[in-house]
Amino acid sequence: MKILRIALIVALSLLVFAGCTSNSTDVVTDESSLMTVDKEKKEVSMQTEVNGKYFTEPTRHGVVYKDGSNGEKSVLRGLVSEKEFHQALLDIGAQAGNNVTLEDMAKGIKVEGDKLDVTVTWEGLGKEIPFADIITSSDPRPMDVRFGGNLERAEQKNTGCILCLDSCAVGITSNSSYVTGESNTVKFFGNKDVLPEDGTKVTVIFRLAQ
Amino acid sequence: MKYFKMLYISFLWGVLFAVVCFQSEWLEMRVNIGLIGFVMMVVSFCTLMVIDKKKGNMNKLLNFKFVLWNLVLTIGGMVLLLGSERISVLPAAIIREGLHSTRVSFTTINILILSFLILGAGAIVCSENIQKKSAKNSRILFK
Repeated sequence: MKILRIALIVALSLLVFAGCTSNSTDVVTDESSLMTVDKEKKEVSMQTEVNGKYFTEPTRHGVVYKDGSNGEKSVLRGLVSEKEFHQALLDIGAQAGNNVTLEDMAKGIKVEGDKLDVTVTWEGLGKEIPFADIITSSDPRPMDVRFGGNLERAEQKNTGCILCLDSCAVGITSNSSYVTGESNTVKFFGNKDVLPEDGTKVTVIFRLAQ
Repeated sequence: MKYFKMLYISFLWGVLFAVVCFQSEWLEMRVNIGLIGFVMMVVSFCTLMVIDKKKGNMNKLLNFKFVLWNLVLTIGGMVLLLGSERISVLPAAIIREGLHSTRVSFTTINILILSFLILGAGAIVCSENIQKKSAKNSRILFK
């Protein structure tokens, strides 16, 4: 009977911790296939995944690289490093603003830099829709994404931030419609009525605005 | 069985503590809340072990009534904090983040949690019944 009880405990414990191991179906993918840079069209496309947690929880992160310290804190989990993305934007001729410092994060500064038109698409959608459509906000405003730059701080902090939903000193791109620190009062969510389900691959396209 | 009961209770306390921590947006944006939950689970388990070592009556103290009330109160607390929509996502999301298993769906994690809670409670009831029966039998033998 004792052996039976021990076996039961072990079986139940294994059941709980079955998810502890990383998924064996995870495939190591070449990062170059996850991001395309079209210098003629002046656009960068990158693969991301939906994080369903932010359908119900607020966040200030739009896209963050999965291996960054904020990799699980964004509506879309980026599969490409923010440093490579920064280089890709330079390659299409975008000019970084680099005007926000960490000290400015509480001062209400707007991020500067070249304007980017950001759209998203996924399998089955059949079209591109504005990035703004996949975000809901407690204080909705038209989205104005700027190439903030911030490479130095991105390397120091290693947060993985690719697209912040308000002006930011670390994110490679940010939404200048909201000044720094505004996310303390404004709440952003992933739009569950528009986005596909958790884990779905979504392509984000950044185009240099004319 | 007492170690399993300790694990069962510690798991619930760990998840509840992580859910409470998640309510702080400042903390949530800076820390892996899943890891906080696992740390709380380990601390709770070790605390119960120490109490058991000192007092030696943990199996009696953690009877089915205690385990059931603990289950009802922790889940009730989480429902009050999160509401019906968030409770189906948040505990699973916290555990997923803690395990760095981003490709496991919330549904899979929820099934694992529910299986553990239901089968675990069943195992605790069975174990108590077996213990009661064997105690009764030994009393009859010694009469």
